[in-house]
Amino acid sequence: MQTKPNERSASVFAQLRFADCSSLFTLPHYRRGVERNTQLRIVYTKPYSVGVAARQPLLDSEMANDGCVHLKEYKSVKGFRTYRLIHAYFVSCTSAEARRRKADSCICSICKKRGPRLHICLHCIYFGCYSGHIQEHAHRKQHLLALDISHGRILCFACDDYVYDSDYENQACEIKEISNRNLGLPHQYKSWEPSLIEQELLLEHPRRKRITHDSTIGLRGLINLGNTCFMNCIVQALTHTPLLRDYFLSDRHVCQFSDRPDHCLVCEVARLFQEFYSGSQEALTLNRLLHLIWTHARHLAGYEQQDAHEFFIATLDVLHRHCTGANANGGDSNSHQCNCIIDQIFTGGLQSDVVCTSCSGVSTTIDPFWDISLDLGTTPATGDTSKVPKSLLDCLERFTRPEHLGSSAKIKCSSCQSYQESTKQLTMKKLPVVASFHLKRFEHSSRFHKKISSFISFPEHLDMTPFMSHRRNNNNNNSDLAASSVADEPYINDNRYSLFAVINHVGTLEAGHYTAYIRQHRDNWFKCDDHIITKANIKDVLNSEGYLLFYHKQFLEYE
Amino acid sequence: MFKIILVWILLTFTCWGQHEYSVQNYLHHVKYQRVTSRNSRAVLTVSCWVVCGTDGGRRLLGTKPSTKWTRAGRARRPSSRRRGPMINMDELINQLSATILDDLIDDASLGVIFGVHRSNKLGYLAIEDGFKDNNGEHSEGHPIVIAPNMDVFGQVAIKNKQHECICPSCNRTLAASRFAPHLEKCMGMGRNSSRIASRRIANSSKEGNGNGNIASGTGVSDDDDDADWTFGGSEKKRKRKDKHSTKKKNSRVKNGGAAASTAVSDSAYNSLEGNISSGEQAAPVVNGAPTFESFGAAEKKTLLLQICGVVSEHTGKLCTRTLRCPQHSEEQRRNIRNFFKSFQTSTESEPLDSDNVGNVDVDSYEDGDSQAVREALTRGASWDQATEHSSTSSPADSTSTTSSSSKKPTTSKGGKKGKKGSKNSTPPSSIAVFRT
Amino acid sequence: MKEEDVLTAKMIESGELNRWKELLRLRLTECGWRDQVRLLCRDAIKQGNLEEMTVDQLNNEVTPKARQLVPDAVKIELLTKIKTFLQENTLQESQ
Repeated sequence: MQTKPNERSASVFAQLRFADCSSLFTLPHYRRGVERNTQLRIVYTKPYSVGVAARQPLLDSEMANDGCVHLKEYKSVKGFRTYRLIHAYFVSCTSAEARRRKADSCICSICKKRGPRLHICLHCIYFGCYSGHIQEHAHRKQHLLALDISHGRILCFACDDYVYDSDYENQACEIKEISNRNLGLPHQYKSWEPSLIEQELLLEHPRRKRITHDSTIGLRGLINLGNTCFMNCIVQALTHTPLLRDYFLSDRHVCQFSDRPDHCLVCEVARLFQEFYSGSQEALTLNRLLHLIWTHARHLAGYEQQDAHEFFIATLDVLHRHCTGANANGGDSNSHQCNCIIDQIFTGGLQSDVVCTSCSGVSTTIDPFWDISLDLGTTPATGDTSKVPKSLLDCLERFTRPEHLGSSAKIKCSSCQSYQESTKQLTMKKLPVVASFHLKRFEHSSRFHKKISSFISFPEHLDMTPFMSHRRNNNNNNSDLAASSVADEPYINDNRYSLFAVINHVGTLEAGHYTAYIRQHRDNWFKCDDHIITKANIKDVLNSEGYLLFYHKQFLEYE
Repeated sequence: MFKIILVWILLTFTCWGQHEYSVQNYLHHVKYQRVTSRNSRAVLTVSCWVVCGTDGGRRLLGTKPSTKWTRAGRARRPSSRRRGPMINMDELINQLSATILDDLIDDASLGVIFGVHRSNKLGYLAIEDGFKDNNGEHSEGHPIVIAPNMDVFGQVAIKNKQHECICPSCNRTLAASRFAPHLEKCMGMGRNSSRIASRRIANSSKEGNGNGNIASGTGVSDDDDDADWTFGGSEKKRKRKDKHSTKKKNSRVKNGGAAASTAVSDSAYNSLEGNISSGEQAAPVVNGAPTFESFGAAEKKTLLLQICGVVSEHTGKLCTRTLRCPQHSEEQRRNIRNFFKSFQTSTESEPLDSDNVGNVDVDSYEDGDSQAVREALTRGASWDQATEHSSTSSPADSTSTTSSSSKKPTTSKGGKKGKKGSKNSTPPSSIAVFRT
Repeated sequence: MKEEDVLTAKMIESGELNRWKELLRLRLTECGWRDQVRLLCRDAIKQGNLEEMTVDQLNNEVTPKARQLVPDAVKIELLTKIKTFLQENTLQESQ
């Protein structure tokens, strides 16, 4: 069923909640805070009625939780001042001074201990630990409300449970922010919660779809439309890119082609995501997608089977263009300023340092990239295989090692004012959330075409830190890199990646076939051979030849 | 002094309820004491005398145990002290560390519990869970099947499934495995697609879309673009990964008899853009040589770019004068080119409604149809008549065009990768772009 | 113990305790412990007879299990940090 974008936004009401386990993460420009996640699972809802016509704004602040009646009463009488004071000094200390006071004062009045679970009475000045002392005080004085110092939660003795009030919580959040900033800690991550409107919608439509370890949700076969296995594999990889999946399932896309929605590739991809995660078992035909891509990427057009890598880049390009609208300013020149989802996920920065051998002056440029194409090296005639890369890490080493540009390739050094020999080095300045590696297995020289089928091993988890710009440059300059500086900051410089998709080419240059392995729900791997999806295990994946490798950042940081 | 302070503090203590809440009040009540611990789990409390403000307290904290502010009895020292100060300190540290860690973990656990408790209390858990089916399961969708010869859906894994799909370009239903070649022609990207396109234009022109005329400048542009076009099969840089045979050549039937000539106006291509999504069209070529049909589509197109091509009624041959040959009208040239393009396909009994105005059955074109169509044209027959005569035999596989453009979109990031080799050196398929 | 008191006070004053809390939180999230505990909580809620479980009930049920789920690597990392701090500050004290 073809739905217009407006209808679809109602029919695709997605939440970025995680079923069962795993923490939440959302997109950078929607949330502030830091959260580390190893996996993510999506719960999204697909309401069966398309009643809501217009796109509802998702108001985050529309939460009106009032705690209990006792708290309400307290709030009306005492307001926020006491609460803020307690928070600022004893719960999340906003300054060094506050911390001193906390160190001094947070002791149970009776047993003089700091725990367990020290509480402060909200009605008077009393510290009591949870092993009976605060309870006793509450009972004796009929002071019904107390605050848990370690977490800032309000306990109502009348209700005999903790209660939650959104106004107070907002205050607590603010103070915690200040406290974190004071200590140099990262932002506190606030998980997504449904707003009032969202709650209503979700209650109205109670059916949920979850990606679990034994459900076929997320898996769909793709029919081969005549040697279109290259497209099928790329689509499988894209639909299982976690961050991209979140984006589309939470219906974040606003179509730029309001007058011609059929032209928008992003809308089509959004529709595909819906299909993939609908739970349907029928194989899909990507006829519309192919038509759209061939329309917008003319250079690809042509029936003959194409290179999956080329298709991947062209697809990203069209998606990028369509995300930013048909009238993107200046096209590529603004690409580094673009904030579309494609750039957020796939665009990295490649730093190229050219060092003049005579004056050691460095000229640095940073180019955006969507993938890294890795040379596999030719086996020298001598048969000496020691220098031929055998693993992805070897390839990356080669890629980022300094290369002496010979005397035939002298560059003009601005400080020497003459042509000098130089060394050039490529390093990663900024890594994208999804790092795609392209192993250059297809040789296209004028004389012959051939496929390099040598085995290149690739890891399931990859740490890109050794290839980052600051690391390589430091390594070049001084031998002992100050590793401690990195260790002290666990919140930044996290460059750990996990493999989630592998695309393989089987066969020869003239006659071949693409298949893909994709990962879903933690560590379930599946092999996608056009419309045949089968379970695979990680060993098969790691032993496969590997042509396109997709790694996803394990831990995401937000601003 | 001491007693005065004590009294003062006790006084403040009792007057609490009436005092306005303030931090100072809090601090006044805190006392400094030594703490004794009875078990290995060290109790860490510190209290200090606060006489006025916290400064005193801070000072007190930093002082040695022998200050006069200490109260309470002598602390019970742990027995491990007897072993020696250094060892004792290490053990103490270990114990303390373990205790601190335990506390931290409990604290973290409580934090998670608070989170879940809150979600439950506010109803978010229930919302998230949603509807429970009979098994109490929440997940929709089917369980994954792991069995030999079966895919995860429990279906038998057959390689070649028969599926149908609809072409977004022409809205026709066709077999899925034939879709890509179809789409290529449909969108005007294959070798013969230009003919199809011009045929579509002819249809639309007949229906009153009188757009696009001539020609004068187009000849030049044709020739320029012509340079891009290379014959099919010679584009070697394209990676050929399929073994798809070029059945088209085989299916072409050489017409016995006179070399019918076709004349299609190149100006027709100006109007091609109206109905065709692609803006690039190939100009068919006509050779006056008798065995015109035996020429490959590419060659025909090339020739039509250069000569007038109108079929002479007398000789049945193609006019080989220039594109501006005065003997024939532009209309005639256009017609011939339209027809020639249509030779790529034959239209079956398609409804020529507005949607399908340019619709040509890209799959079923046979070269052998050309004769009948040509004759119908030269007789000035109507378009419909012409189509009726065309045979509707099996779809031709005009495939394996090695035509793909090397023109990369300017926004492509292909050139921005690190040591990426040139992979995209594919030949152009943009032939003869006719523009007004 | 006086030393313990002093050290604890120092921990809080310097904000080091907060940093440890944050680091622990980070590591536990990374290794999936938070998710596991959350799952335990939800299971406890579903199995609980009461309509809504209180924090105390959850705490009693979940925290013992949660303690065992913490990976050793995380424990060691935190312990090392804590010990380092304590040793440094104890040395300072004795000076």
